[in-house]
Amino acid sequence: MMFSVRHLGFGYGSRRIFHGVNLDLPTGSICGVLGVNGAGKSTLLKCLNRILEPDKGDITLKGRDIRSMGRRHIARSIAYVPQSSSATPLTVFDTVLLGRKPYIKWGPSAHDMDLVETLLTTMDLSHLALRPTHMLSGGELQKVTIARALAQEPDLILMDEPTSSLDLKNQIAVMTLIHKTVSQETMSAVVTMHDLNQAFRYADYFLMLKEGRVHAFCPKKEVTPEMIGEVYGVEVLFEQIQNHTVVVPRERPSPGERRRAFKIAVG
Amino acid sequence: MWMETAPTNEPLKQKGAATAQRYKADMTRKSVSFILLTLLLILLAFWSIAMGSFHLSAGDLMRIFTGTGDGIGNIVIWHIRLPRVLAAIVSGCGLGLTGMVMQTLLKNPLASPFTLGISQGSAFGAAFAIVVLGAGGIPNTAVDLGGGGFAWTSLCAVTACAFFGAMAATAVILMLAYFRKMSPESVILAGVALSSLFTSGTILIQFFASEVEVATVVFWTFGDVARSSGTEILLLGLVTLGVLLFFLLNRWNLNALCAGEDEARSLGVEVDRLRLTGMFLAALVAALVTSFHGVIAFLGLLAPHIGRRLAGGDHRFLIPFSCILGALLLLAADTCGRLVVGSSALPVGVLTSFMGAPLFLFLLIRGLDK
Repeated sequence: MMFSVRHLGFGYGSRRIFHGVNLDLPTGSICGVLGVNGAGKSTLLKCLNRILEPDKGDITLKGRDIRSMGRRHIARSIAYVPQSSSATPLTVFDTVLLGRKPYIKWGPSAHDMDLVETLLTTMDLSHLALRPTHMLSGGELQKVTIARALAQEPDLILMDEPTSSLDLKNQIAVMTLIHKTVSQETMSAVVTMHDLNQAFRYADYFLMLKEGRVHAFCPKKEVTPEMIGEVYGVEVLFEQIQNHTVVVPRERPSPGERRRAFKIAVG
Repeated sequence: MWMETAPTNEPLKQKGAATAQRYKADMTRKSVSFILLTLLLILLAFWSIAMGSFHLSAGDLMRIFTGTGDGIGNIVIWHIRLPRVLAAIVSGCGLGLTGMVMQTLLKNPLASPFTLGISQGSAFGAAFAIVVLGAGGIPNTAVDLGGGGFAWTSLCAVTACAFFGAMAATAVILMLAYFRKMSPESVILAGVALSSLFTSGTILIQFFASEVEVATVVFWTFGDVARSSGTEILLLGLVTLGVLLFFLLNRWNLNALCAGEDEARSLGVEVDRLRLTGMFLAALVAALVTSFHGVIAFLGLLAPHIGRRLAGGDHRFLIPFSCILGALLLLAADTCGRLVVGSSALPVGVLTSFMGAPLFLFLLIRGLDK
């Protein structure tokens, strides 16, 4: 396994956020992390590259123990995209170049500059290259942050609801880009998601968190509507549209409709 | 990995190359601006040395600097004007650097030695030395240091107490930040509270002081670059240079910190260590400047903000720009003070305070616009 997590636990003082998290992710796959608000998805993501120090468990990436690696070396292997990025006075070009920071000793190399140019062009950000990021829209800023993470050339990318501030077109563009990069089997991704349809479209594995524990970790094809229902407390149906699984909440009759149905049934 | 997915069609390749061209042109523009500012500083320094009540022509200056000048000219240049100009350049550079670093480390555009209470701590220390320890007066120029009228130990006591006052404020700020895990915003608020505390302490000391002592304390708080000795300038210069080197080595880390703590950590920055070390070193420079020259307000705010306007937020440029602008502003303010009143009057701290108030208003108006 390329990325492996064993018995991971984290808490703020005596308050446990999650414990006993196990995860095995092969190269070239995307793991979607699901759970209700406050389930600990974002905290888990921050523990995976030691932004927060987990108090229990082991994390290995390509056989190397993350907990014994220096921060610079972790940054060369794992990139992180937060839910919302801070706008700064740095230009878009400088912000993406910042992704090369773990490799830069004094100044950026020709390879660093070429990589940034390529990313800006691929992500359609070239026209914004010299604009400070505090002058960008939320969606543009999120694309810049993703470009910066990709500039790290990581083995694993952690993304906390990466498309939450993007419109539909950019959601598809960004997720397709991530999926394409990951499927070239050069890296893997762990992505927290609220949009279940997006999760079914792009994720290969699902990690479901409930009340600080792993409720289920399985390949996409093994996920059942019951699992989703248990995690979110909402009954759902799976429908197939254009070869994609779509999650539809099951409509339940209102109390008035149930009473009428009961009266009809009893005559 | 990404190079393998590089755009293969010609228009996209051209687009990428054009982006790089524009970026390089922007870098060149910033480098040229920095060179021009440095030249301006050198010109201003020579002009500041030449002008004054004892007029010196360019020829006189050349003779003095080549060691063939006359007696009075030598004394004026080597013992009065050159130390004053050098003190303004080194102090301005140090204050510009510390203000910029504090603003980045605390993620607050209003952070500076003055708003964090470091300058007020220093003033309290000086007042304590002058009134409680009876350390006495302050020399008007560096020449006085060699005279018999003023006690060298007296100046040392004031400087030492001012330094300890500044470092006490720094220690409180750092302890709150490190042990209580205060947010940068809370650290600024703690600085405001400390400023108030030290200012009240200084007023209390003044209340029990004699008229002469009160006048001495007030004069000390004005801030004046004319009172430094060669040793002080050398010490301040060396410390500022060392601290500047530290921050230049950490320029990419400071850029990463702008993006936020979590993102900086994910980019390989040891955030807590950088913030603690950075704040200590910045406060050390601020404490030395204030203990040698008194309170020079607002320069730590003004220089980095002008620097951001000229060079943007990239610390590869912002660090040198803040230093050179700090030096330029302080030297310009001191030279103005000498032009308006005369060689020994109008302390530079008064002029920098005048510049600071409009900046605060400017920041407020910009904030409201956003």
